[in-house]
Amino acid sequence: MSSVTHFAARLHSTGIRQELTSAQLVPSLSRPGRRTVLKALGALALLAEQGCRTLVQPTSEVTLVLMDQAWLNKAFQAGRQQELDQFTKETGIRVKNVPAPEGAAEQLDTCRSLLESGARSPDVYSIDMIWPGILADNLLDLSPYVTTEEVTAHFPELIANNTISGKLVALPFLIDIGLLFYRADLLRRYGYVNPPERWKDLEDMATRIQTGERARGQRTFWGFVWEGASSEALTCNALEWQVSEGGGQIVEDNTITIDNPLVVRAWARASRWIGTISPPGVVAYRELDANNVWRAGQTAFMRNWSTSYLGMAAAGPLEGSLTKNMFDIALLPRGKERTAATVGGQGYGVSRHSLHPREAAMLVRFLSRPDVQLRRSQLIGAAPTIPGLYRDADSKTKSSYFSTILKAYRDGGVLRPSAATAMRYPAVSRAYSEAVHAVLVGRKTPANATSDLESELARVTGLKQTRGTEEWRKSPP
Amino acid sequence: MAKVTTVSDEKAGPLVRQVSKIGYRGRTPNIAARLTMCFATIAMLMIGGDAVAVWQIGRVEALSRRSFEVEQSSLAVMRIYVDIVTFRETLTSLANAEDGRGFALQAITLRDSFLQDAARAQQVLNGTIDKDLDSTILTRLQTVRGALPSQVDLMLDLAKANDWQAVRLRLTNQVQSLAVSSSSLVEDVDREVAQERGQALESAEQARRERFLVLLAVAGLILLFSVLLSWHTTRTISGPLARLHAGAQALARGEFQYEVEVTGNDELADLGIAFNYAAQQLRERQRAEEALRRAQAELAYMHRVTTMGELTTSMAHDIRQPITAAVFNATACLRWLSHDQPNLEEARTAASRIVENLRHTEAIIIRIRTLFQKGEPHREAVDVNEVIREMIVLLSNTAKQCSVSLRSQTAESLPLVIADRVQLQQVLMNLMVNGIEAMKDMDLPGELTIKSQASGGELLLSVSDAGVGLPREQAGEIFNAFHTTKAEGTGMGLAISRSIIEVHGGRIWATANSGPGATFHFTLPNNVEVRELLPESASPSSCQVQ
Repeated sequence: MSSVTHFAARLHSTGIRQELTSAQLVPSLSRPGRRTVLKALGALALLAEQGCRTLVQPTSEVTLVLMDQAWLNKAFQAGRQQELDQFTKETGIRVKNVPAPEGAAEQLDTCRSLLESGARSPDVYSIDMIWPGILADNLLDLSPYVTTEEVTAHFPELIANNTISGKLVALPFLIDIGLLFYRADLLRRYGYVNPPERWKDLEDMATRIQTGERARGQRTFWGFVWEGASSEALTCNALEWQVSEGGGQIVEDNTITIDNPLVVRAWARASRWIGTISPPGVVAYRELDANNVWRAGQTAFMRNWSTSYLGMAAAGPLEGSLTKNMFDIALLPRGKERTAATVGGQGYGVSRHSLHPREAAMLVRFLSRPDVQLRRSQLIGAAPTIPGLYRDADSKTKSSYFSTILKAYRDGGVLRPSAATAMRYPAVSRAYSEAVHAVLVGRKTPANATSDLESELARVTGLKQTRGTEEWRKSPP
Repeated sequence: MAKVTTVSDEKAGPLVRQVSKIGYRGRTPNIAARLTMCFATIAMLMIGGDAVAVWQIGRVEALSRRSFEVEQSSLAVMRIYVDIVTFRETLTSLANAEDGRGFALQAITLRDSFLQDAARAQQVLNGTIDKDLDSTILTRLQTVRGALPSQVDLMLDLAKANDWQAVRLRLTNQVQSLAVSSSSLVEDVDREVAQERGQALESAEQARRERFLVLLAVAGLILLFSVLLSWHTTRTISGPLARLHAGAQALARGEFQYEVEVTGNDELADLGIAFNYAAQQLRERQRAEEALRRAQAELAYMHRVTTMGELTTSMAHDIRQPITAAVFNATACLRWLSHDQPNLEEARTAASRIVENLRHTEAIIIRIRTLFQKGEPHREAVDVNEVIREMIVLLSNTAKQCSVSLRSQTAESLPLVIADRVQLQQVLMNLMVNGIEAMKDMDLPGELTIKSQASGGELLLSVSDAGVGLPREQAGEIFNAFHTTKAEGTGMGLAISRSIIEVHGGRIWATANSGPGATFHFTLPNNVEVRELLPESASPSSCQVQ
């Protein structure tokens, strides 16, 4: 698919360019070029237009409330608290951290109800990759509060994703990407040197290790766990399956790309995993369930987000039975066409109803700042949103973790169709994951499911269908 | 105290004008309004004091209630934590037993009771926790409240898929962290609450301490203010009243120059103005009476002189008679001395008679002169019998010419009266001359009887004649001025006599005799005290002049 290749190429080129410029940006713009000076002057003029909003030091009386998504992750919370303490030290502004619910859908519901009810608190929300189109109306435009350099330092796809009708509604602070977690120790035990390249390799290795481990007495050991519960996570998994196979990114060029044999093949393969290399319960798994099983040492492979690495690798001793040198990460296996990794991640946005927008914007800028992101990557393994930080992050942690993430982003990065469907995205994702789930639990055949889903999505979004096109007919069944 | 001020003469009606002016101005509230205001203010103050007391008591109660509520919120959050721990333990044992039905049943039951407790806790916290204190507590509670049901849903899905390992791991990892999170919530609420509870208790204690002081201060202030207000109000009333009282006493003493000081413009001020007006009227009346008295005295004098003029002939005879006698005695004396053998004895006797004759003459002249004298009325202790005697002496010759005999019947030991001797003589002279003239034209010799007697607290004097008597149907008018029955009378005699007697506090009237003629009576109040101070004057019981 030409558009996918084009995206990957674009990611690659901009990434390198940003890497070069951000190397200068990290030490706080120490040697600005002429163009940078001009930009800075422009930014200053903009700031002057905003009056004293951003220039005057805030009063120390202000206390901001921040709603964070990853509240159940202790390591993340500990790191976050250090950052907030530093912010208070620098600005005198206090911050209170308020947790959000666990699931992405519940989190979105909470944020929506708070923002749409005009709640004064929280001031700052963490905004998931797929939310900007939904929440934009109740979020502040951050452009007047940040410099152009600050914005362009980030992956341009993230900035584009967070810009709705010219409004920069969130500043990214973290990317999350689908990865394959593998047990290096077990691979070695069963004679494998490298992680699986293709889905077929994964199936073979998983089967062999699972059989071997069960024979060694681990009766509940499984080969591969992932997120099979009907949820946003299943959407991401299935998107990776179908994109790797070449089945399209659900919506491409304002056309639904579901009802085609590549998607059917991808979903059918996944349904075969259940009960063979994946536990039957995987159809009820969310990220944390997969993670639970992984950390309990009861699986050889796991598909999960790069943020699941938080607390596993960088943050010292694990709560489960795994130790750091027992596992590693790799790009997800290739399908017929390529490797695919769903890009997630979060930014911070300021509520339009906040009583302290200036201070809230200061917090958002702080949490996205290169030095803060770099420290965060060392402390808890969070992947930066500024490409220029990846090399430093790896060299400081003496690992290839961040290189792998960057490679996954560049080679396999796939965005969900949240921008194309905007307010319709939750409905699209729900319909999609329910269709996949129906296939996984055996309620529908993959062919029926894809056919029905394409009709439904066309109805929900009003977009064109691919069914009956020449391409579709030529495809093998 | 009142002070005497000079009165500026004002014409009639200043009172009306001033009073109406005051009524128009009406700046100072009148006494009734002032007293009402005073009492109303005191009542309001007491109500205000009561309100403060009620407020204080209410404050203490509210603070106590607050500490109770705060305690309740702590307990409510604690119950949530207990719910989560119970939830985890119960479900873990069921998951270990891989009891799908029991797990589903218990999970839903425990979730529902948790949700009830959470809703209650949220309600209690909403009412208790001051949102400024920690805005995250309610949000965190909300999150915990939402998280447990979603965990139940996820675990039920896993249990349905028969993946007990995943269920146990969720219970171990996610539900456990929910318990941890709720326990930290309990701690935070407890800390907030402890702070609030401590504050509430401290505030309540402080309020109790303050209550005593506040109530004492309020009571003291009310008392002080009430006393000051009452004192001021009373003073604004009692001050003018005392001045009016002093003024009334001064008027009673006859000090008509007294004027009370008028302040303000209330009823008492009106009263003061009226008082001063009355005093002014009294002064004017006093002046008028003085003038009248002078006029009367003048008139009496004129009348006296006129009467004396009329009596000149008989008085000249009176005087001439002893002088004639003196000439005769002097001749006899010379004759006795011109003898060769002067008879000194006889001459001495004659000389003695001359002296007696001249003394008699002198006495008459002195009396006449007294009657002609013009002077200010002069009161003294007077023996009325002596006055009667003097007038008999003075008028004896006049009476003789008219063939009238004068007879006196005076009571002995009459008390002295305080009177003007000359005016008294004038009254007697008027009545006696009237009586003599009434009998003058009678063919028969007449008799004029002058009587004096004590009667009750006064002296009664009467002059009776046997003349023409009183004119019929005019008995009541004979004392009026210009009323006369005589051809050459002025008609003033009886009127003047009446005014003199009335000035002396007596009465004068006339009665017809049973026989011919009339009797004129008048009374004089006696004065015992003066009587006692003066030497006893012996008076003849009867004197006959002929």
